[in-house]
Amino acid sequence: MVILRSLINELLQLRWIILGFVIFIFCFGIRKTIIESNASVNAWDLLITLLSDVNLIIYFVLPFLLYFNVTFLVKDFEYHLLIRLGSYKKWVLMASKKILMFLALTIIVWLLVAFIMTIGFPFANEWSSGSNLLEPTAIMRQYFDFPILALIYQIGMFFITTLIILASVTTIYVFLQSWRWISFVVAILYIFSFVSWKLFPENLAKLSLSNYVAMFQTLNLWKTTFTIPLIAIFSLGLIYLALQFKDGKQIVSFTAFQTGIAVYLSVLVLGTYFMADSRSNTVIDLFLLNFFGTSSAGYTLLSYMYYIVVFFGFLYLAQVYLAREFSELSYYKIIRYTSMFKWMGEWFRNILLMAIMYLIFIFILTLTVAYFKGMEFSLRVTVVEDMNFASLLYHFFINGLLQISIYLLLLITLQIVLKSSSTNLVTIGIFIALLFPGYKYIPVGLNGYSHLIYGTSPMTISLYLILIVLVEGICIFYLLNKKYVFEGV
Amino acid sequence: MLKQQIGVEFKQIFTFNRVLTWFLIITLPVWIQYLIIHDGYSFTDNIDLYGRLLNGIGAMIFPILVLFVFADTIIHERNNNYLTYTKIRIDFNTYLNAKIMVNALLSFGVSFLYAFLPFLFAQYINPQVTFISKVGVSGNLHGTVTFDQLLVFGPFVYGFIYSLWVGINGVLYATLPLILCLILDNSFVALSIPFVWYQGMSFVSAVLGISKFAPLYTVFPYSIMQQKLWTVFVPFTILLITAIVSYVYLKKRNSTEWSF
Repeated sequence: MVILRSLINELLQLRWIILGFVIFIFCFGIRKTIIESNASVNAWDLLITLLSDVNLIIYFVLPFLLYFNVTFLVKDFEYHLLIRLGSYKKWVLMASKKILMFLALTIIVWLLVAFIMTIGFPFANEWSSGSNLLEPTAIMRQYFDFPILALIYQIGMFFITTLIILASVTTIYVFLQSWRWISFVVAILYIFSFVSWKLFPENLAKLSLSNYVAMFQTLNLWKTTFTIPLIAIFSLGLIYLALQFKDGKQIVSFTAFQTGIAVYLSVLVLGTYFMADSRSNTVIDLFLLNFFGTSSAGYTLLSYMYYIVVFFGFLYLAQVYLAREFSELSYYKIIRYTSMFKWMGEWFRNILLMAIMYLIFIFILTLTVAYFKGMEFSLRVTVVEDMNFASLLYHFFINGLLQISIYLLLLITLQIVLKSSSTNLVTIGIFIALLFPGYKYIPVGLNGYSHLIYGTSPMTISLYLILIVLVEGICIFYLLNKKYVFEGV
Repeated sequence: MLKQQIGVEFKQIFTFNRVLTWFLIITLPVWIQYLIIHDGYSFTDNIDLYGRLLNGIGAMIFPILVLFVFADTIIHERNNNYLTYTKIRIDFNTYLNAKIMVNALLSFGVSFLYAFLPFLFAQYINPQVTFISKVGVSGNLHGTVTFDQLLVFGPFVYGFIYSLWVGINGVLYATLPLILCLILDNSFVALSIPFVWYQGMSFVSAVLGISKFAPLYTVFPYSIMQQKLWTVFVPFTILLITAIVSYVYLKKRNSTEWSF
């Protein structure tokens, strides 16, 4: 009740009455024209037409919003408030909340008036036969099944567009901090809005502001419903960067480790994209060729390098994480855990989870690349004669995970025994060396598809890998049980 | 002062384990490669045999190999706060320069021998003693890899200049981690940056189709077609500039603050 009463009190203010009155007169004119045309339209058509009328928006609603935005920008930009909020970014956020309220009230008034106009029109939850005659509904009905969706889309997108325009004005005001200059900027914006609407030629239509406030124009221009959200994300990002700059903060701040991960992932995406060549016709071909790995029977240098980047790159990042975990190790830390195994379980679980997520990531990455390269999404294989899809998936995930855990366990064992991070670089080097084709029965690179292609059963590989995991697990169990970690520290 | 310090460094590094490490670095990768190729393979000529001997696991992990010539000692000095106490006893620039010089000399020697001894074996010893017999039977065409342009000056000049090139690259790949180790906090990352560059850039340039600029192929060019000689200087120059910039940065930082 309180909200309703305050809403009514707010709406009884002079500015809303003026707004409502002007919209009422304007809409009445449109209603009259529609009635006189004798088209069989329903209430939805009228609502959509009224809410996406470019004349009304450009000549009245937009200037109205800009005017009130500037008045309270100038009024609210004071140092007491800025000091309490702490940064320009927070101030813009606060101003945006006010703009949001203001915008919501505008649309409520507009909707109220439009609903009054629909008296006497039939309501039906479908497009009327006469909607083809009106330009807004004729375009909207190509994209939406129901008129109510079109109405919601128009209101929502209008909301976003205006919010971005007003937020940009607010951000510009933060930089200028002078009411003269901001009035100038707003005047320019206003002039631009109707000049771009009335005078711009056809080939500049995408720069015209009027095409982004009425959604049937935007849909007509871009042929997709995602235009406004994408522009919104982009502009909000720009506003955020500008405010970070104004606040004197670093625009982006990452730790070195995060930067490393970002660089690695971009190399991975780049590599996967350019690895996918014309030899593979289907998704399964792409998987087989990318994750071919090496085996004694055959290999290509590119698949060898790709294996190194994908799996040993992950191993390298895990090792950076591990080195930190081990360097922080001390008696004081270990007495918080009841045993060494709990200590190890704590971070080893995390790394294994990361490995599973990583495998899913490269799986999705390969699928995405296949999609963008326009490959065929089917179970057909063209590079080899026959390949069972289930065993392919099994080999990728289960054997991949087992193989990664073997690498990790070996790294941990050597870290415990040798206690020097530089030796782990040697371990990775030895893995790379052992991956080189020419050796047999070595548990390195067994999750490459070459083993499957040359006729080894994935179950056999799994059994062998599980055996190695068990042996390494026993080694680590023995070492931790003897508390070998602390010897010689 | 510098001379004396270099003498001290040399005295410290010549231990039995170190010399054994150098010996293993020079012989082990080539020996493994020899075991793989010594039967079942046939070669065009001695130079082809030489390429096969040098290319392989040693080429893949070359930056790691040269790391263990001298540069890894800096980790122990850093970790146990040895460097912090060294600064009050000796001018740090002298200390650093002596380290870099000794590192450069030793890594040059080891990588030169790493490339030159297999050359001597393939060119002069094997024809006399015949460890590998199928030389000159069949196989690749003549002069198909990058440094074969030098063969017009005779095989010895070719082997010597190519070994010099491997030696110079070894110096770079050993010097960079030494300097980075004093700049970065994480010693594992610092030691591994040249290796990650070596592998990562080789992969990236391979998938982008410009493998003539891959760091791996500019040092050991046995897996791609013959390229122009200037191409090998592209990754080399990038690495050299990185090393120089980080050296200048280290000097500058140490003149203002003295912390590791």
